[in-house]
Amino acid sequence: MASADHHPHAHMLTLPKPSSHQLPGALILCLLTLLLFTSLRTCAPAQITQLPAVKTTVPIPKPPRGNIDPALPVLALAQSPPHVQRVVQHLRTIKSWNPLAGFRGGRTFRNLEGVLPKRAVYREYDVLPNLAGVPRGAERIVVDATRRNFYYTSDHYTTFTQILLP
Amino acid sequence: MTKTEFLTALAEAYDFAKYADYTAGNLDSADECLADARAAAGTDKLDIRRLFEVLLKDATRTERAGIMVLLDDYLLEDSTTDPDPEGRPA
Repeated sequence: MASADHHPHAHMLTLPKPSSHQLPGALILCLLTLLLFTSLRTCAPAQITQLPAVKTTVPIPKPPRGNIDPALPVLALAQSPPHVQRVVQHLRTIKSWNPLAGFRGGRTFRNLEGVLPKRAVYREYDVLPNLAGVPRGAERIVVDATRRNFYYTSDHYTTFTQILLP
Repeated sequence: MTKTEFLTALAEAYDFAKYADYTAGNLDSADECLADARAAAGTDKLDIRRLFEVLLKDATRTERAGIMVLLDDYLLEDSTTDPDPEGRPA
């Protein structure tokens, strides 16, 4: 009579049936694993908050001066065209409302279409020098005289972009 | 007549293209062009007859002349053509 070891399919019988005294041990092992996994998850946030603050070399940007109108697009002064930067830099420093020498501007902009925020006093300025007999074109800087906000229009007051000062 | 049509007539009457890149129908654009036109004319007020000439361009010459008489007599305060219609001595 042949034994099980000599049976041609004996190698397939690799998982012996667990005996009844092995079951509690396996169950305890599973519970311990589950407990360890759960405790690691609950501890993780506490460990992160206890990490020391890392010094960054990236400067935190200061909030821009003046008020930002959420209805208008914005552009950093440094990213605006050079001729616009020049006029804005001039207007930031002046005490009166005189334009740059050779430029036109200083007239009250009345915001009749209401594109810019209401309840403000505005002045308009050319961004290109004035040439005799040549129309002024369409580019302007409009200044909110009270809050010192600057707005740029390239299409003669149809649309505006707020210039953000550094 | 719409706002844009009226401002277009203003732009034609006072030749906004001489002053800036006028944006059709934009009040702020017209405001600046009119201010520059007034400064160029060297007067306190622009001559409104130029606007009526544009508005009435489809009328005949006789009709236009008649309407101008009505404007002069009933609506316009200072007549540039006849400063003293009653002919009073200075």
